[in-house]
This record gives sequence, structure tokens and C-alpha cells, in this order.
Amino acid sequence: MSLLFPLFMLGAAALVLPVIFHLIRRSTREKTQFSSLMFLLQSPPRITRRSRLENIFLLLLRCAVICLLALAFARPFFQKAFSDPRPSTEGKTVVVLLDTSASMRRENLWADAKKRAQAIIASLSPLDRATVLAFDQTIRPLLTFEEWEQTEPAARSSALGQRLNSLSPNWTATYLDQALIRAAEILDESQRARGAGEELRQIIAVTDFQAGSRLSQLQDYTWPRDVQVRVETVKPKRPTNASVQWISERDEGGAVSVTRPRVRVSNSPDSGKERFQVLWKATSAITPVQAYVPPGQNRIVQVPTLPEGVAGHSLVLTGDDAEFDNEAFIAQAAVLNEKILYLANDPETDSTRPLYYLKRAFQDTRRQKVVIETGAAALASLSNSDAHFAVVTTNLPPDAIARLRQWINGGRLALIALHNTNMIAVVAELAGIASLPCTEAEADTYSMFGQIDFQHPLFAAFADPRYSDFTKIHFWKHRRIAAEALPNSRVLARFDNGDPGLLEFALAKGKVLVLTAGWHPAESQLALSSKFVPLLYSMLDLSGAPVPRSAQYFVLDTIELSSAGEQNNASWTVRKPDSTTLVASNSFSDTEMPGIYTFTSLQATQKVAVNLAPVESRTGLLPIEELQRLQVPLEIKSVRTAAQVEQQRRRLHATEMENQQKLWRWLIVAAVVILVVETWLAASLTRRSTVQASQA
Amino acid sequence: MAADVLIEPKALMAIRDLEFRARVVVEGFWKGLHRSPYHGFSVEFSEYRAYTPGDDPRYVDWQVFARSDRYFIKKFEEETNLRCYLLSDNSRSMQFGSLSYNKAEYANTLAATLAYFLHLQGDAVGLLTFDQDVREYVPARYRPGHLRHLMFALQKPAQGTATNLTPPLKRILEIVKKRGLLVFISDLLAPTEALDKYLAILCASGHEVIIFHVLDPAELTFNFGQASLFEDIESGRHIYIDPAVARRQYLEKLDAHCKAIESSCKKLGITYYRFATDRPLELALFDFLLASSYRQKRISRSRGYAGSLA
Repeated sequence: MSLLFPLFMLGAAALVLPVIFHLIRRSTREKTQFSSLMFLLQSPPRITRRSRLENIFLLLLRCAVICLLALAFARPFFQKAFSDPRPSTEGKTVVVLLDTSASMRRENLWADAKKRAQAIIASLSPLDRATVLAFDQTIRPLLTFEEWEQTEPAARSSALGQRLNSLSPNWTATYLDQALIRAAEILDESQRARGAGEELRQIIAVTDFQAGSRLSQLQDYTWPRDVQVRVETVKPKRPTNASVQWISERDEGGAVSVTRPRVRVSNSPDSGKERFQVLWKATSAITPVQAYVPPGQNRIVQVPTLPEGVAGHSLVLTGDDAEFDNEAFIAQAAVLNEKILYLANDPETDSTRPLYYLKRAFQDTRRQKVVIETGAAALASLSNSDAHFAVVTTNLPPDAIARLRQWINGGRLALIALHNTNMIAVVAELAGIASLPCTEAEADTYSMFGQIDFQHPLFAAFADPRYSDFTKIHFWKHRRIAAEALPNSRVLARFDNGDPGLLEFALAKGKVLVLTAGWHPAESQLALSSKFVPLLYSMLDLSGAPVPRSAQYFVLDTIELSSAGEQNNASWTVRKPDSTTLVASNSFSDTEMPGIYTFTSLQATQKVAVNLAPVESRTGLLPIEELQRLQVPLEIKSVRTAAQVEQQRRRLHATEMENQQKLWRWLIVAAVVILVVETWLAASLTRRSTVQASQA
Repeated sequence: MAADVLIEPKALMAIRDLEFRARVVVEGFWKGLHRSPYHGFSVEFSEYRAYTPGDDPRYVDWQVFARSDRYFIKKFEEETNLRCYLLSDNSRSMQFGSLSYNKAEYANTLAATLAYFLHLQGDAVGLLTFDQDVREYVPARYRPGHLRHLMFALQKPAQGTATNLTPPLKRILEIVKKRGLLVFISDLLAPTEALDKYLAILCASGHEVIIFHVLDPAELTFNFGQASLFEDIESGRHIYIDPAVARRQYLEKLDAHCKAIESSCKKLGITYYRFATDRPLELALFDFLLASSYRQKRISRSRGYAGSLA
């Protein structure tokens, strides 16, 4: 039998109390009257030598009660053989996450992180399993479980070291949440694959734990059981970090000047410095502008104008300790000049003609200027290829149609709005068929678009239920064409009586859209509706016109090079900041480094500035409570040796056994029974003695 | 005297009537007295008186007849009339008794016995019983029915709640103008200094004082068995006493107290007797007569045949 709390047995020392009381017991209830106490002094209670032998039994009973109570508190139990359930062959499974984001480029952080990771690997026992992942905005494995198992235990650290030597931090942001979730998934998969039971699973993240780390995805994530997360923070020796960001948008409208840009200077909360300078990298002739920014705040600074003839592409910040976020690249967003050919001679100010509305639909924007050429000039422009979109609203002579056809073949879009049935000749000519039956639809009441193909890129913007209501647009007149008569055509919109409203057919590399009604008020309400402008812009997109893009991109953003037209496969040559060239077609996403990217195509050259994500410049240390708040199971640091762990397990086993046996209850019951017996015995003895005394 | 003649106080106290108790003691005493060889010891010869027919021939002094051929009667002390006051302490401490009767009853019985005896002798007896104040007062007279009056007063049970000797002693001094005999029966359980004061007062007034210091046998021997809480009968105070431990000290203190009283009495010329309440009352009577004879001896030496005391 063994005791759970042996210290309580000290309570048995209380045994001495009944013994003392037994010996020095005085019958305080007995009173004797005496005449005077003049000659008497109080006698102190002393141990009488005459101990009452008949009360020894009661004394023994009381001692027994105290012993039983002390034993009950000490919680005895019968020790069964302690079998260690956890075989000692099990190790733990560890996932090491290494931060390779841009903030790790600061002075000593990357070296520290590498050392830390190697130390972690070296501290694992041969029975443990580990894998190493590098993470920033993406996750890349450095050492998988299989490689780990194939390597000798002694060689694992150096194997990792070799991989790390070829690795260096990128320019990307830190997606810590994504990395942690992926690590937890890996642990889960590995456990399921091995069918292992209770094993210790750990995620160790070696990171600078900056405030700019993304943690939002952790909010809804339910962590698997028994996974512990530890964050090994690498701290810079000099944490002062200020960053500079180019403000490329202006809310009030107005041009963003590239020669006199405005920048935001942000200072991290743990900085030690407050004064910084912003200067043009290209030239040192301009005095730098001073910026006073207290820690944790940001200020907007107007940079001095570049002198004439000097091309400046980046601004540099000096005065802080971290270099990685001190350069802001600036590129002028090109204003696209797009030409639309209007093959008719409408007066511009006539509001009954379609041109009036077309011109007003294409207003000049910050990034795009649309020029509509009309009449003969438009016809003449058919020979060159700078326009992408042509609009036909009258019947054309055959040679014009031929030239149009040739023009479309090169990969353009033409919109033919049938204002009368005669114009069907244009369609037929373009389609290459002899004739096309076309009649005027009855116009007793208006029609509207009843069926629209929202899958088509033209209407894709209207697919949302908020914008898909075309029933407000009334068409007074339209022409009826048999869609089947037009080969390879696709009906994009039908009127409610089934007549095709908008058809599309391909012509070599180009496309032709046939609208069976006009948009001017005599024909319909299309030009007056709010859907007119977006529809026209969709057509412009479809025509393959280059898409205006934002001036500033961030690392790993995708740069759209062309519009959504399938036929437009213009190839662009991309020159990256490190002077390598690539070829891209529709979009370019290899924006791994910040800098100026130059896109050259047959038509145009564009420069795009790619900058570091501003969130990565927030290098203040994140408090660990953020992870606790998101209920990440952080490791509780307990410095315990194996012996202590073993001892704790034994103790838990003992507690469990004692809980099962619960001997203390029997002991309490016995104590109570003995107390009752003792009380009854004492009462009967006292009664007997008083009877004897009264008889005497 | 032969012990078997003396009456056990226990048996005596069983007699309920106080007068009868007194009579038993006195008559028993006379019987013993006549049989004792010390016949006439306790009575002192005071003077001769010419014989007249009718006198008891027992009292004829035959030696004088042999010398003078005349009949002379010896006149003894008791024939001279005296005024005697019996002072019986009935205070609370006197109500303690370890026998079937307490000290107050014994004292009252003793007083009754003395009263009876003195009355038979023809002396005027007065009574004063007191506790914290004068309880009963009977002036000294010699009249028919006076004895009954005395007995009646003595039979009243002691009701005292405290002990204070000052008022009764003051009262006595006021009352007793003419010199007489004062018999003080008490347990004298009061501080010695106070007692000295009282006794000095008494003696200074010219009275002859006899003190009977009566104590319970338990008080004298302290033969208690178990340790218990001892309660003061007067104040109600409790003390835990273990008799085995406390006896010696108690006896020492008691002895010292009694010796102090004795020495003061000796200094003041007071006759002092101390005994326990289980002592037969005849012996107390004996002591009384002894004391009287001593006193008479002193007076007769100083006065000669001066005549009877008025």
C-alpha cells in the first residue's frame, strides 16, 4: 500500500493530544464547597500519577480515530504495476518554418535565422522527425520528411545548412497564417500516414515576427489536437526602420506628377531615430528633402522637382538602419490613346444620331484618351492598324466593306448597328454569304432584351444580379435576322420575342458584332441607359485594345498586359530590373523583385514600377498575445528534464489509481464508527461513575 | 473523664430540640463531674459561709470543722453571680460543615449548653448572634422563662451571607456597659489584622473574653481526596485545588493563622480554645469552667474575699 500525500501522516502527531489530556485530565465538573479560600492557592494542573486504567480503552479509541483520519487524508492506495504506455521509441514530429520575407534582409537577421534553424535541427534526437519549409508569400519545402529519414542523424544539420546556403530572403510579404496552417496540415497528414498515436507534434517558426505579418487566416482555423507552436523570434540589433512609399493615386483627381511626386515616409514603432532624408537616386544635384517622422507614425513629403532632361525612376530614403524598404520606384503611367473608327458622317452635335452618344460614352480618363475618327478619315485609317474598334452605322460601299473586312481580319472588332434593313448587305458581305434575309420587326409595342448570354466576356460584367436587369431598356425598332442564316454566329442577346438582338461571328482573327437595333433615341433607349457605357467599354476590351493599368504594382502582383480578348496574343518583351528579358503574352506575374519593368511590344513600350508591399515595412515586433488571441496553441515553456516528466507521469498514474480505489472513504467511515462507539462508552462510564458517587 | 461517658456530637446533633440537647450535655457533664476524681477541680473555692441547716452537707469543709469545731460551707465560684454574654458567629463561613451538621449548629449548640449551664448556676446570660450584622440579641437577665427565650433565639438557623465582625462588636460595646464575661464562638476566618483590632476593642472595654475557635474537622485536616474546583461558600469564588498538592501549604497557613490568633489572645489576656466540631461538647464545657476558674483565681488573688461581684 502506498500513500498519495504522505505529508498528511504528520497529522498523526496529533495523537499526543489525547494522551496529554488523558494524563492531565481534571474533573472540572466536580465542585467542593469550602468555608474560606484564605489559605488556599490555585494548584496548577499536573500530570497525576494516578492514571485511570479504566479509561485507557477510551484513550486508545481516540488515538485510533486520529490515526484513521490522518491515514484517510494521506490517501492510501494499492500500487499496481506501472506499465509505461508510451513506448520510448516514439519521438516527436517537428515542422520548422523559416521566414524568407523581405524584412529578413535586415542586417543580421538572415544569418541568425539560419543559425537558429540549424540549432533546432541539431537539438532533435535521432528518433524525432522534422521537415523544414521556407515561407513568405508562398511556401517552399527545404527538407522533406523523406529526405530527413534518408539522411544520417549526424548529417541532418549539415544537409540543411547546405540547402540554406543557397537560399536568401526574397522581396515578398510575410503570410505567417498560411505557413502555420500548412505546417499543421503537414503534421496531420504525416500522422495519418504513419498511423501513429499520441506523439508530440511541434511547429517551430523562425521569423522576425513583424507587425506586418499576415495572421487573418488563423481566425477561423481549428487547430488539430496536440499540436504546439513555438515562435523563435530573431531580433535585429538596430531596429530603426523607416520606409518610403510612392503615392500614385490622388483622390481629388488631377495628374500624378512623376517629376514632382509625393511620398509617404513611415517610421516603425521601435525606432530610435526620427530624422530622415528623401532624395532622387538618379541625381545628387538636388538637395534631399528632410522628413521628421516620430516613431510609429508616417508623414507625407513632397519631393523636389526633377530638373528638365533628368529622368528619375526611384527615390531613396536615408537615415535608418534597414535598407530593404528604402527605395521607391516611380513610373509614369502611360495615357493610352485609343482610336475608334466611326464609319459614317454624322454631325457630332446632332443628338438624334448615334455618334453623339458614342462620343459622350468615351470620356477621357486619367489613363485613357479615346479619339473617335469619323467619316473619310476613319475610312483612311482602316489601312493602318492603330485602331482596334470600328463602328458601322450606315451602309458602306463595297470597297469600304472590303477594306473593313481586311482590317477586321487582322484581329479587330467591328460593331455593325443595323439601322435599316439595307445594311444587312454589309453583314452579308463581311460574312461572305450571298444574301441574308432581314426584315423590319413589327413595332406595335417595344421590345427588350429577354435572353442574354452572361457567359460571354461582353456581358460578363453584367452577370451580377444587381446589374443584369436589361428590362428597363426598351427597343422601339429592330431588324429581324435569322441567326441560322449567319454561319458560325453566336447570339449574345435575344429580344423577348426571340429575335436575335446581338450576334457575334468571327472573321479570321477578328470579330464582328451585329446589333439589330440602333442606340439613338429613335431606335431604343440603349444610349440613354446606364448600361451603355460599360457595354461599349466591354466591346473596346473585346477589341483587343490595350488595357490601361495602374502606375504602381507590388511584388508578386500580376500585370495584365492585354485585354480579355482571346484572339489577342500579342507578345510582349519584358525587361526586369536585373536586366533579364522574358517574353510574356497576356499577363506577367514574375514580379519577384521591386524595380522598373519595361514592356515592349510591337505597338508600344511601357514602364511599370513594382514596389515592396508597404505592409512588409511594418517591422515592429508583434506581441505574442496576438497569436494567443487567435487561439494558436502556443507551447507552454516548461523546462523539464526527462526524469521530471517521468515522475509526473508516475504521479498521474498514482492519482488515477487512487481515484479508482478511493480507500479514504472506508477509512472515514471507520473513524466515524469508532467515534460513535467511544462517545457511547464514555457516556456510559460517566453515568456509571455518577451513580456510584451518588450511592456513596 | 471516661470517653464512653461523653456523647458523640453526631448523636447529639440528631436531637432536634436545642434545649433538650443542652440539658443532655449539662446533666451528662454533672454526672461525669461527680464521678470524676477531679471533683471540685473546675470549681474554685471562693469563701466560707456559716452553715445553716438545710445546706448540702457535701459542701461542708470537714478540715475546718476539725480545726474549729464549727460547720462552714465552702462557697464556690459558681455561686457568685456573673453577667455573661454569648456571642455566636452565624456568618456564611460558619455554615460550612463536612459532618451532618455545620459549624453554626455546633456553635449554637455550644452556646445553648453554656446558657443552660450558666442559668442553672444562677447567672445572667445574654445572647448575640451575628453574621454581617447583629441577628439576634437577648440581653442578660436571670428570669423565669429567659432560658426559653435564649433557646428560641439560638434555634433560628443561620442565614448569613457574609462575615463582618465590626457591626456586632460595636453593638456589644454599646450594650454591655457593665463588665462581664464574653464568650465568643466563631471560626475566626477573617484576616488576622482585623481580628486583632476587634479583640483589642473587646479587651479594652474591660470585659473578660473567652474565645472558642471552632473549626470543621475537614478544615483542620484538609483530608480531601480528589482534585476539584473549590468554591468559597461566602464569595462563590472557584479555585482549582489538588488537595494532595495544596494540603501542606494550607495546613501551614492555617497553623500560622491560629498561632497568630493565639499569641494575640495571650497578649491581650484572652482565653483561647480551639477545637473541631466533632469534639464532644462536654469537653467544651469543661474548658469553659477551666477558664472561669482561672479567671476567678486571678481575681481572688487580686481581691481576696472582696465579696461577690455585682
